[in-house]
Amino acid sequence: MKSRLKVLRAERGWTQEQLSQTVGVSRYAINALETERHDPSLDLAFRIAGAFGLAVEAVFPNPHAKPGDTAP
Amino acid sequence: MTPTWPTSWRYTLGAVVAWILFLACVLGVTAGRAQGWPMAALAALALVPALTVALQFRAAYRLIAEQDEFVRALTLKRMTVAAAAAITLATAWSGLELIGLPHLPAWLIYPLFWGLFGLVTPLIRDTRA
Repeated sequence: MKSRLKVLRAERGWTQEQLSQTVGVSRYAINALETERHDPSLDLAFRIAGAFGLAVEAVFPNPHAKPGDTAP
Repeated sequence: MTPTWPTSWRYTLGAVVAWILFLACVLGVTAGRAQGWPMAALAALALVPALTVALQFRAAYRLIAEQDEFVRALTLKRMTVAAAAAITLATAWSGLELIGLPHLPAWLIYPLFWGLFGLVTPLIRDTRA
């Protein structure tokens, strides 16, 4: 699953370690998400999006979305 | 970067003790049998390795359960592949024994499993299918 995690984290100047502590996972998990080696559970996706103050789809864009689709 | 596992000193220390006990009992049974120890003592000693295996897997289960979802999924994936490879190799060897290869003791499957776990660890770095 593609994510905007690395970009969003860089924009805020957070390290992987800082983000991992905020959402309660290991730095390995954050690294794996950024390098697309792990698809997050729904729970983790919500926690990460919450840390950024964004909707889940703003961090993890829906890979099945068709052009023109918008969130309700 | 891929996480190494385990990352708990408590688990590592327990595993080292369990391995020493496991190997000591296997050697002890062999030596005891050669020296004619009582069957009851040999039987009790012979079951200790199985107990150490059960305790170590219990500790591993608990340790895995404490990890975050990525490390947990990665470790379970590696363990599944190692178990599949160990069982496949053991079955293959068992089949070849039927046509004359020397017999190997079944307790070797346990170190074989962990050896294979070590081998597959650097090869499996993602949790995706």
